[in-house]
Amino acid sequence: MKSAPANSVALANEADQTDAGPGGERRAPEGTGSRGSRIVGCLALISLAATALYGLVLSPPDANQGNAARLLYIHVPTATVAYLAFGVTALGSAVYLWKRTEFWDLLAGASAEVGVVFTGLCLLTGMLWGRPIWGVYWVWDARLTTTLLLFVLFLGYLALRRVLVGSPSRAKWSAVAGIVAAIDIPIVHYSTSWWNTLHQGTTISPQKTQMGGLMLFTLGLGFLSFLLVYWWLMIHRFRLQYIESRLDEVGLDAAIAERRAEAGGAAPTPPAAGPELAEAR
Amino acid sequence: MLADTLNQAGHYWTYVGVGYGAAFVVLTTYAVRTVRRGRKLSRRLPPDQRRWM
Repeated sequence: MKSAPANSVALANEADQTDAGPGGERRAPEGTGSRGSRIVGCLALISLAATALYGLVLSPPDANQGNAARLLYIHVPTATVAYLAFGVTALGSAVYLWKRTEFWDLLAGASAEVGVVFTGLCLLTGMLWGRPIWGVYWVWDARLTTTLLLFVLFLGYLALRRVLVGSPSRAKWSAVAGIVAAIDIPIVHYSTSWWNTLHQGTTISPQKTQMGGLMLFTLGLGFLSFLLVYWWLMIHRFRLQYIESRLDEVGLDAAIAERRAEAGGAAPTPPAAGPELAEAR
Repeated sequence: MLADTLNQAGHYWTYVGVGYGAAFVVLTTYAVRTVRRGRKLSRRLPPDQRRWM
């Protein structure tokens, strides 16, 4: 597997520029943070606070759904960010299969984990919205079922990455699984058009937007804040993924060195001979 | 029972509160866990390898 060129890693290199010592010399970063990630984190916190303020206080209750509509200011953005995260995983997986550079594999893995968190939140907030509006937390409706399937598929993707740690084929098979799992994204998105569903269809489109001024603004604020949260989480998760990858390599190298030392120190034994056979000889 | 009473009085505020609270708790827990794990594991790498590629 080839390493990515140093200038291709926008997510990764901020730490190099920011963690300089008093004399201007570079210091090794102590964690996954950097000046860039702190700026994104502050922006995310400010926008989340603004979303909570507008979502819970300033925006009016919906004429039909009452205060339950306030859940949509976090439910819809989490769903959109989950699409984005899994889209990045699919893109990273496809480019990995093409270029075979580690950067794309790490990007795909990091984005999948963040996407699973957002999908879990989307399902949870959707259930909490469904209980007062539909009368039940869950129905096996096409949109809900395909979203749950997406969640399970990417959990499986993450499990596959863990199972194959240390295997040279991990990145390849993970990339294939990432692309296959991402096929569900358009199915989730178009499920309300393709099937008769309890879940409502598109509310915002270029042709027709069925939301009023302040409510639309609050939803937009929700999109912005969850995108910033995704960006911040991706910076940290990508760097953590990189650290884990380096540690896996160090661990593998140490294990190989240990085995070589053992093989060099002990008397050679025929590989086919088990303990009983060796004793009989 | 209590949730129903609160919701009838407050027009679903319980569900809204639980939803916003859960989002806050889940994202905060995940973020803290990721940052802590990054700090812990980066100490195990030699300084020259902590350059994020």
